[in-house]
Amino acid sequence: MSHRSAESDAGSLPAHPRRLDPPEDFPVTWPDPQDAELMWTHETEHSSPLVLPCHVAQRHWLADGMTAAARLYGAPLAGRRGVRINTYWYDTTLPLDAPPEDLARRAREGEALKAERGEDLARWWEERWQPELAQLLQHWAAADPDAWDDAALADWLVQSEGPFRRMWEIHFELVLCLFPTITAFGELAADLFGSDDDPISGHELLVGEGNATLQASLALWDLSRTALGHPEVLAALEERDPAAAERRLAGSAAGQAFWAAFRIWLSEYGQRPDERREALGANWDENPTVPLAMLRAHLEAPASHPLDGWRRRRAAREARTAEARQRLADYPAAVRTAFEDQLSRARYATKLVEDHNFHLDQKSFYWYRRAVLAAGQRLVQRGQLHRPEDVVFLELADIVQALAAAGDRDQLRQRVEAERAALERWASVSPPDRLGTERPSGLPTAPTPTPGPADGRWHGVPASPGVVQGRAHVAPSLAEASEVQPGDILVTVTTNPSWAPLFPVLGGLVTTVGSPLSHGAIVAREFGLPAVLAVASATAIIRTGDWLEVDGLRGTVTPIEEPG
Amino acid sequence: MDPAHSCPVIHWLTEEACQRPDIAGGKASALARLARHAQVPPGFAVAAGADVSLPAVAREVQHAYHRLASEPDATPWVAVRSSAAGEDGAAASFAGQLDTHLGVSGADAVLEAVRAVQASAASARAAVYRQTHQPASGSMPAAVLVQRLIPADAAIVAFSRDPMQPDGYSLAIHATLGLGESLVAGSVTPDRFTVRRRDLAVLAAECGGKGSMVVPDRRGGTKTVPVPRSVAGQFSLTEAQVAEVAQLVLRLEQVQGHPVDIEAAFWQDILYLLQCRPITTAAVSRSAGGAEHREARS
Repeated sequence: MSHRSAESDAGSLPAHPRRLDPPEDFPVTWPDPQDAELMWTHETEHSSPLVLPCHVAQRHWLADGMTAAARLYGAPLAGRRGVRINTYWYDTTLPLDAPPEDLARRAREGEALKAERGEDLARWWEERWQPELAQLLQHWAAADPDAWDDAALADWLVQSEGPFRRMWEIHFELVLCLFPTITAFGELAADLFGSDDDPISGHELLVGEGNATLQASLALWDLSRTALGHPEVLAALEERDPAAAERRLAGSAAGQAFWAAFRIWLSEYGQRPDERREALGANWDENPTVPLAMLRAHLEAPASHPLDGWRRRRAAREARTAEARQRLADYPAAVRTAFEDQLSRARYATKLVEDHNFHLDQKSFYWYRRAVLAAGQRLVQRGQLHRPEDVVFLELADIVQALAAAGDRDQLRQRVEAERAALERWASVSPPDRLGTERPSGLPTAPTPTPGPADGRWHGVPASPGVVQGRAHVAPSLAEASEVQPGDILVTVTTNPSWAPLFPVLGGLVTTVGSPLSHGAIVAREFGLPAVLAVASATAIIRTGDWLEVDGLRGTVTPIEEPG
Repeated sequence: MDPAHSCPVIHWLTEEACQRPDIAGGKASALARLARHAQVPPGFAVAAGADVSLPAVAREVQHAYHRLASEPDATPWVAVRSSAAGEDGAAASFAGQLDTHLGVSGADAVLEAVRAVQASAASARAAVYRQTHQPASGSMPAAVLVQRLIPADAAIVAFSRDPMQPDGYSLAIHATLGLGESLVAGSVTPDRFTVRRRDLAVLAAECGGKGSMVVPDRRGGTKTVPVPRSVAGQFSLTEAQVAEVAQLVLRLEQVQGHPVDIEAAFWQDILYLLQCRPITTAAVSRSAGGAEHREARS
């Protein structure tokens, strides 16, 4: 592995650097020409591909939080840098330039710390990070920006940086402990049962733990059962526009009660941004278009309760766990103890892989949106913006500056319009996965896409077992996914937890990126949904209406004839 | 010597007669004598000269097995070993010369194992051994030891005097996970503890790679399985367990009146003594460990 800093000494790397030519429809102007020497990757793991100008600050804090946590755990990186290019976010990792013995010592100490926390995950989460998180959220939850003057509001925005940065540090301190914990259990299961006639895999024993996403989905399903009992509610829910639906629901007592119950659902599970491009990051409790669409999908879903399936999978998991314990019954106590300890830790980690997003990512983007909207309202009052939501087209520094001085009102409005136009322009372009200069560095890079199909099928990463045949529904974004029909196989890029409420109506899942430990894979297993991930270019090759067979155990996707 | 079916066939380790090598054989008589000083897995000797092809004798063996397997907290498995007179004496300290059957369960299987052990005791290999080390004790069936198999959490070999430290300053304990087969065969690198005899201070503790372990197989016998990577890096004994083994091996040295090496096992936190022999020159050289250890033994 090369430990030289690509930034300080890029030219002397013992590699064969290859400049990546951006596609014709994606011309790149680097903020700093030196940046073209680095290798940049399109980041989609944390929130949507949509990066509004107001999100730039969040993205930097996120990158810094990841750097801090990774360094704490001994990773040889100097930092992570991000840059917004043509409205998309690219980031790069800067390796740490230090003597090998220093790097080795850091790695050793960091790994030990990570392992220590991983072994005590429940305590770290429940007694350390979660309480701290609750305290950090008070910065926004307890604030009353309407009561403040412009300077106090600006000050509060500036001071938001500290809590937001800390949230991202906690996020990565936690997340970086989760995956090794789950991986270690997978290895243990492979060591213990991998060569048995009937091997037991780690995933079989981890499924069915339940999580906040499942809770949200189940609660929404319950609401859909309420709606089915009231024709006037059903009729009102046919309105796609939330405001229109709300107006029609207000016309009946059942409708009013339903809306009140829906608002309660939103207050519990709606503290998250809408990642559809046209929603411009609106929070669900602000604009519930997506949850209402999901509710409608539940109305068309088969009448079995999603929990039935979950209970079946949970029972299957318990049976397999009993089988595993039986096989170990005469093993040395140290092995049985290790199995039990690592199993309970890995189950906890599996739940947190999903729940951390609910508690951290979503809350962070939710409160950030609320904070900048408060500033947007003030800028409207000051005559500097047309509408409060326009504030999302400004970077945080510009918002603070606009609050501090009575600036040129036309200038702000022009910038808003220019950014809005840019966003529309780039929406139709697919951003390349990588930009800059490719060089073998020892640091992990994205796998080279290998479009299939080979032997008549596409191969991906098996992520959730089961075989299903169904109609493909290709939906690169959540907006397109809301038209999905019950039983469809969703073909998309990746799913983050915003998508999960959709899962109960799906037949299967195919994504172009992801791993067996990604959010989508874990939720798919929770719902018993066959899933194959990392099928390169799936969204480009497969078309809505194609019929597919998805084998989530073998990791194959096969085009089939539509069943007669 | 007369066929033995008129004499008692079964001698429990707790019985006085079992302490006689001419009846119970070397290994069983030694263990019976040590049972006062250490926890020994319950079991019985099939007396030397017992002809298990006689139905009456066979029934007695099967009956004894049923009794052993029906005791409270018993496991179904037993270990069936030769207790031939030449073994475990001061002149010859090697086990493994004769057949050993681990993880045997069911009365028929036990009877079969007893028969096989007797046959192997009579085999040419055993005969050669006796010719070179000790006069043969005749052609009658050898005594056989049937003991409950301890499904060990950790298997131990300990030397009351560390063979690598001729000054007699310390004792040595080797331990690994699971049954002792892998330790005795030298097929794993065990955890190694050097303990000062004077005050039982642990002078050195070295965690071995272990690699594999031997566990009882529900389908019969034993199986060798990998030690999970995350467990291999941990010591197979706690500090308290190391001290307990050290005390046992020193006590046995005192009882026997000469330095001893023992095989032992922890199961459910109880230390079981499986074997106790005088340390011989051969034992010292074989304790160099690793592959040579295996060569020396087989």
